[in-house]
Amino acid sequence: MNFFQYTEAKTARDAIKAKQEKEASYFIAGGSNLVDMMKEGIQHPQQLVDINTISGLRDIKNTGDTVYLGTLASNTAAAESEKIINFAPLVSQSLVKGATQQIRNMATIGGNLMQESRCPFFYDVSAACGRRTAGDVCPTVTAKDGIRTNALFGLNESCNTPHPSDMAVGMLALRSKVVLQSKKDTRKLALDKFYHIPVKENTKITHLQDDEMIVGVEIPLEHGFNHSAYLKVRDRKSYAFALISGAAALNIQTGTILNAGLASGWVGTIPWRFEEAENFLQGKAATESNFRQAAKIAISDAQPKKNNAFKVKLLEKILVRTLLMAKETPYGTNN
Amino acid sequence: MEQITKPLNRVDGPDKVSGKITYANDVAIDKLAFGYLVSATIAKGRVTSIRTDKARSQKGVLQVFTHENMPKLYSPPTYISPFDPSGDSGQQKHVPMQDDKIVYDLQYVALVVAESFEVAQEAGHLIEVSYEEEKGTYEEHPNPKDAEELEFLFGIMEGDYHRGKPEAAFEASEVKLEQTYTTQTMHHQPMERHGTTAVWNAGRLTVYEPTAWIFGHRKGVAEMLGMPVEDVTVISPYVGGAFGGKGLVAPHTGIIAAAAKEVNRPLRVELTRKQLFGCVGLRSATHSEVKIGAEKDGTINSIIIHTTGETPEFQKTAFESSVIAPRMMYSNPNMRAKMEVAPVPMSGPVPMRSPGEASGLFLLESALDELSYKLGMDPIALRKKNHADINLETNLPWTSKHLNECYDVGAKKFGWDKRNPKIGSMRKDGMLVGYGMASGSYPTLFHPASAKAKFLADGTVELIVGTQEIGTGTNTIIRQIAADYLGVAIEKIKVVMGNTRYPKTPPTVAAFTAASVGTTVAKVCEQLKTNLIRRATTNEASPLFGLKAETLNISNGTITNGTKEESLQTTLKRAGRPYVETQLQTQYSPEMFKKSSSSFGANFVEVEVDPITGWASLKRIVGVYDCGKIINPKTAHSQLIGGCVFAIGMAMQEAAERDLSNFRYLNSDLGGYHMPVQADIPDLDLSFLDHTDKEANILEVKSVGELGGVGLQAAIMNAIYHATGIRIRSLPYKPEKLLEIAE
Repeated sequence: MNFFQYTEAKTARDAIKAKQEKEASYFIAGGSNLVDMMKEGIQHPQQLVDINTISGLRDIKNTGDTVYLGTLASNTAAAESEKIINFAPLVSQSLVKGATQQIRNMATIGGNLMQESRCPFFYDVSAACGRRTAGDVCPTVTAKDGIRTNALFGLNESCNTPHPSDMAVGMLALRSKVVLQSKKDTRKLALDKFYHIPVKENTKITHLQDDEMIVGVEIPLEHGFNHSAYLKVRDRKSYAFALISGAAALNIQTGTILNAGLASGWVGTIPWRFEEAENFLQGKAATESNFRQAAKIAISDAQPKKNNAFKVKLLEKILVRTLLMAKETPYGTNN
Repeated sequence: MEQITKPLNRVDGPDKVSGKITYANDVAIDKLAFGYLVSATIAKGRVTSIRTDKARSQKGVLQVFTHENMPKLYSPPTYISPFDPSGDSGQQKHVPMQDDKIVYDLQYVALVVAESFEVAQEAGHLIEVSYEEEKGTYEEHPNPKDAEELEFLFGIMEGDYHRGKPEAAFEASEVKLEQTYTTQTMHHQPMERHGTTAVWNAGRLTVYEPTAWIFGHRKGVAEMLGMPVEDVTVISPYVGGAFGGKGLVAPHTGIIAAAAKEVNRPLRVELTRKQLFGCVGLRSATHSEVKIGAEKDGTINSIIIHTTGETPEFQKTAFESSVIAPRMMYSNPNMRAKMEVAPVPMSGPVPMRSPGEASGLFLLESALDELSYKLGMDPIALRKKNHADINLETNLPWTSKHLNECYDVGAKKFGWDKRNPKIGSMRKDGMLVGYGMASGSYPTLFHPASAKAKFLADGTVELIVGTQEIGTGTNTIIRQIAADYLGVAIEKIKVVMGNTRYPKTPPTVAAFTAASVGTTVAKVCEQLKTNLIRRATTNEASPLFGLKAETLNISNGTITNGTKEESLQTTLKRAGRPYVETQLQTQYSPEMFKKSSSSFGANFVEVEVDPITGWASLKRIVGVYDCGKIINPKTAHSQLIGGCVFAIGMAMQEAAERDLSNFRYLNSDLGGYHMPVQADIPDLDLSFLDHTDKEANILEVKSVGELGGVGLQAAIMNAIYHATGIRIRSLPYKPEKLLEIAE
């Protein structure tokens, strides 16, 4: 049997220290992803460091300038929080489309951001997978026609499976920051700087350091977003990953867009933000024709193969619909 | 008749929902060992080496079996007529772990036996297998270019059927339709996984197994092990879902039984969820070329269907036989219905919910919808115009048929008159709205069964029947039938089932349990009733002595003619016996072949489609069904719901995804294989017409269970076409299929 050590941490520093002391150590919070991988033989931890025992990491706060989510807040708690619903509803709108109620009850904010690939090749230990084994190349990367699910953006020579999170897409459109703590200090990384495109040399897709832990996510309120929507198009209406999702946050004042956040799930190897489309929308009227132009800009550098070519057009259409939905959904009218 | 037609709750309902029911692999057994089957990671090729030393060295491992040390197992030779009442049963000829060959993905290559499941699983992960993979290129659907002759079509049907002059009649028609329709590979995925608990005792074997056919399993296991059927007992107290699966014995049962004998311990092995995707059968994909020739007034002259189904490379069998239902659906004098199969590396297919009818009426009812647009005719009017007044396949009259009434009642409930026939003309809240309809039908089949009825001294009755409870409510309706046919209160009736030591019955498939087991129960109860009455009328001490048996009846446990009476318990006590029992076996009779019996239905669907993204949602479904007398409206209604949910899964979202470079399954878990969840199911308004069928059988019932899943697939696609002008001829719907929607 594969025995492992189980350590309860009382503080973030203790947790980092314990993790560094042993090879193949993992933090465990909700366990909704890690335990699955252990059962499938994908992860063989020598130690699990339980961070549920650390106090103060479950808070959801409104500081005036930001809404702050502690890393251990459950996905359900975050989705149902009045502070989120009133001030950053896109987080709630995206969260409730993810997984199932039972999984959301267990899953945490930090765990959601760190969740692993959901690709069948990742879960099939007999297959080559660049996200399971450094240096491996996924067979779908080299396959001429690709596969239906693969990403359109952030392609690389190792793994082109899309990032699975819904919540991260919503947070990305809101320009959220991840709060990281090391033994010495804390730092904040914008979510689009937190993730990086997969590389062949290692299996990571974040800039999280070995001696760091996610302690929370900060959602800035300075952009003044007052409308938002999340649209998740998928093969089953619940308990299914997206085929493509769209997240839009808009600051609309008397019909003019002062600021726009636009992101998408299951089109990028990491949660994907459309900055050029956001810039285009700034100062424009909130009209369908402007939304259509923004969507065109968003898809302009997509890199499809034959089997996922349809995703380019579908993405464009989903972004138009998401922006229209956002326009119709002022803060306080959804959930 | 008091209990039949009552919407009674299931007898086992409370125990099921409170977790008290013991399923086959929950049965407590002393000294039980546990196993874990290791599956291949290629779909075609051979095992070049298999290293088990690490697995063997794990503490608690008792034995590791591979093809190198597995006892000899025999191929079940009688798989070819699985619904033959002789008890033949077998999913496939191929038995894994007998040689180094791999002929389908997830095929078993090793079995670890250990003291606990956890140890067996961990050791299983430590087995290192090397393969030589045979490369191939594959397609999503069977290709008619690769088609070969079928070995059988349910053992009874012609694989190449025709009547009249189909080709000439098609050519001579004023309006011609030619289209290709495909359906996908689907998996059953019942909540309860397959598994076997094998217990040997002095050379005799007892198998606990969730199965939809205990007697078929008994024969299949005996054949695989090369032992007499009499030495095998199969027990299946409850089954946690079957849906057409679990009916034909799959290879794991023989492997596990042989291993249990070898390690000399009772052994339990449950398959993994993933193994259910590859090893226990599936609904195979189909490719159908369809031609319909009609006159401008809507009269259909000819229907020609050529279906190619997916089949394993080691046997040419198919249960998704699209060519059966269309033969008798309409009044076309000319018909060809040909089924062939194209081999791919897969395990033996098995029936799955409405096997054949599901794909057969998808193609036929889609094609009829297409024809209705070509003709500019209302889809219901077209169907009525071509109503089959008799079954043209057999040239027999129907026992009853109220299909036109199904259309009328359904259209009224649904509001079909509000449909604007123009494509894309209906909108609601900015969304495109589509209305679609389709017919449905399912035959009423009968297979001989036997049953024993026993009247006991305490006034209770035991009904002993081999049949199995797969969740449809069989033991509930048996009680209702027995109560009425015996004249005993329903609380006094106990049903004992699910054991091959009990009287023999056919499988629980194809919606024939009520017509087969149900009528047998009715007859054995009549026989017991006659027996009990005669005991009273022939005994001088009885107040009923000398009365004619025909003048007497049993009511509430008492024999009576209205004035004189005697309780059954008194009759029994006087006879000085602890019980009176009688057993009976029903048979086919010539009468059964003088008329054709089928249930019919009409499906109506409303869909909404986003005109920008093309994303479709089902809004509501109306189904009206003609199924004869309904023994239990509650359990029957539940079965219709289940059928509809299966059809929605097939139409909208379920499909095996396979890597076409090696034919391995890609979405083999419940997260990736998109069976419907609550959010996928719209409002279902499903109802029965209030007709009985006196010609069908003594219970006046027709088939129920499968009908909800027939025709609805087409009705959904017809509604999508009405909303968007895009015809989906390849199931299932996927968001990208409506991408070309006109904005």
